[in-house]
Amino acid sequence: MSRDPSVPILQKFGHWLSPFWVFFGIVVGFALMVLAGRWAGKQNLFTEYERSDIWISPEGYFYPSLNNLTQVVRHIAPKGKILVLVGGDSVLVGVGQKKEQVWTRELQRLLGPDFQVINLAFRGAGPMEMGAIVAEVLSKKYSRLIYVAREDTPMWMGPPDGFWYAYLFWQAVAAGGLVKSASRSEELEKAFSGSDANLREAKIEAWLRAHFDHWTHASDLWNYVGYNYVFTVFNPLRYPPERFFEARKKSSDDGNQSTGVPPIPERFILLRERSMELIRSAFQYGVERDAKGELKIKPAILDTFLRRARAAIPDAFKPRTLILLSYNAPYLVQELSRDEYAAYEFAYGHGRSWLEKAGYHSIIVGPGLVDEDFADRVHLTASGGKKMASEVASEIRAMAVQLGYIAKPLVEHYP
Amino acid sequence: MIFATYWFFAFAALFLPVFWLLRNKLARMIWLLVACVIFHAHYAGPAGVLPIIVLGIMTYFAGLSRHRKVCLLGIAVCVVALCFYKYSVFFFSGIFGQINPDWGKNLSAWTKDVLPLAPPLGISFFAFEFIHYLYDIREGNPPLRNFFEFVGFAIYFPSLVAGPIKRYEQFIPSLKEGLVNASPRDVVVGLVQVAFGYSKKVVADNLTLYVDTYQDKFADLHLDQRWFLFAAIAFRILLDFSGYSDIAIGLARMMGIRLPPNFNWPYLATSIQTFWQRWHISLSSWIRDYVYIPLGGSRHGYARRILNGLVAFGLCGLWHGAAWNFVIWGLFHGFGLGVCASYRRLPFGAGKALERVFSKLAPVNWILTQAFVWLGWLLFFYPVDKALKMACLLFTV
Repeated sequence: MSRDPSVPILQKFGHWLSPFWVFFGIVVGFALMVLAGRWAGKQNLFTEYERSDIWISPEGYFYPSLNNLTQVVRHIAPKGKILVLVGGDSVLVGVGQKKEQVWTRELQRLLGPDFQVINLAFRGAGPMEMGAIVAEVLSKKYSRLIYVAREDTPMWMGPPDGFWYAYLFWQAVAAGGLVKSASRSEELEKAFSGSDANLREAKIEAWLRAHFDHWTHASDLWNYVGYNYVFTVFNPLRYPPERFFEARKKSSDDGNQSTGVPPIPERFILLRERSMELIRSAFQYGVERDAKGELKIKPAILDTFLRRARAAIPDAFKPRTLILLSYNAPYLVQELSRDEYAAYEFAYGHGRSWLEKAGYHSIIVGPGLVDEDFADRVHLTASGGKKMASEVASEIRAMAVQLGYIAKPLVEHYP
Repeated sequence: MIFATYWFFAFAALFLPVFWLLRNKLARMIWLLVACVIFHAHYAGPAGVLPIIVLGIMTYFAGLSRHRKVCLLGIAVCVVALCFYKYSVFFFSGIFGQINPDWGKNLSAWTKDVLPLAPPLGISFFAFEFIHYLYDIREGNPPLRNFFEFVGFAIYFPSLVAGPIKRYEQFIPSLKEGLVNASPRDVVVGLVQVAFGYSKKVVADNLTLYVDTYQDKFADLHLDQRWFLFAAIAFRILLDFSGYSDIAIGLARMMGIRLPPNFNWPYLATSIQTFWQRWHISLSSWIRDYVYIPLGGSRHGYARRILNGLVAFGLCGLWHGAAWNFVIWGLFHGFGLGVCASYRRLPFGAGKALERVFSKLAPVNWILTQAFVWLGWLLFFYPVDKALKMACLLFTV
């Protein structure tokens, strides 16, 4: 009998443990789990997929794996169609619009049957995160592909592996699914060899985790079980907590992204101070006045932006990438002083032109939007979503012509 | 949580097979020490390693001297180092700052300039183990003459971050045994315990997420949800800490080395005394042996016994963190132990009557003990006013 004093249960049963059979069990059990994970990674979990919601996104403590997301695209998009993958953040998720009103449905309608629109936007995701990774990984399969994303702050670009969703980037690295990009590698090397020990440690962890996951398919198996059978379902965006455990698939896309929009002006007043802070940050971040009082982009910000913009998306994909900048609700913008408004316009105008200089397509969504089109500072209601879809559809068609995906129509016609 | 990092998985996956494959005692010892140094340097960084090297060398040579005053000086240096790295800001802002805010502010600013961003990794454990080492030598135990054995005791990686707090008299023979006789059964028993530990950590981390998500909205929760969150707080700390200890003890066992037990079903305890015989056992026994008993223990009368208990548990609370709520949590337990030790002395036969009732109603003892312990966790995790408010809300519809 084992004399281990530390765990009573092992004291009792330790002598029953045969080393051979325990090792054998571990090896066989592990192998079976890996096989099950491989199988799970080939299944399409989200069979009724429309867009990400709090039940299948990291903010709801669910981390869809690269296989989960690529399988969605594979199941929805036939190979022959022009794939329009929408990445980006909450505005492109359609926060403020109900599932049946989501703007990407309108975009699909406007683009017609030659195109297949899939919304892979996630709240808070930058242009190089989530949807971008899936687009890059699937680019071999879908040669006619256009990627759409949004950046909230002009002249801002995150690191190449992203912020909140870096795990997916590293999964793609481990899977060998990313295109080689010298500027991206250079940026990442800086992070790995930089003086910030915590950042370096986090990157090493992400790298190791992704490789472990790639070999074991642990995330695929975990998500399969969690989505179909049992998972924790408490959530910072779901209050009060209803249950602790449940299959994720039982919860529907009715999170706070589509709960009723308050009337005007409450929808803008509710978080007015924070909203104004964010609107001001859009130009305070990158714009300053020189000695003569002329507006200019801060040189250090421009340098960082250009470096990051070069690294965010591989060069080959930049012509296929449309990055939206979107104006804020006029109700709030009109509170800016004349000088502030000039800086605001300057930031957006230059933000767009610098994106284009970096090789991307870019448009500013919003000149035609009115207060009723906004659910809050920046998210759009169903009417706003339709207007955005219309502007984006025009640009996508133009890109598709430029890329040679479709012939230039003799007469411009939109359904 | 170092044991739940992928770096640590990779480290253990490289270290353990080589350790088992090496059949020579010296080679195993060298490999173990190399691993301990790599582990410590990786997680602590230069700023965290240097103070430990200095303290360790000082402790080793102070021990070798076997001189009572030198050992006492060594103990004082360990205490000062612990206070400096872990408690300076608290002392200056939490205590001096209350007396003279300007002093407190200036001294806090100065310490923040001088101190590293975080205290050296595991400084509390290092300090307690070094103090134990020097104290026992002072009491006549032989020191470790082999420097490598001392290094092994000092920076043994499984127990480096969160214990259990080792005693060198038990650890060194066990280390020697492991270097020669680590068996497949040790590996299996250790592996099972590690697996238990990680399973506990998974549950604990989910409970932590739940608590973090809803604790600020405690007043808005339904009564049943408040109780659920209350239980989640209690089980989260048990599973987190005992899981961590299981991983540490299991890892050591996989090398054939026995570490002291740290938890033994504490939520089954039916008195505060037995709770502390089951909860963080290596710490509570350390506090008993190196604080409570040297203070006089129960040898100088009833009042002194209660006072010693309060001092010991106040320090025990402070050990957990540099904030008032930890001190209050420790005093709360010290008070609880005092009540347990003294209720039998209640006048007019009330004490005897209570004793008879408690001896016959074990479930009542258990409920009272656990209610006390679980309410104590509110003091542990939250500022006193918030903890009291949360406790009231448990009984308010």
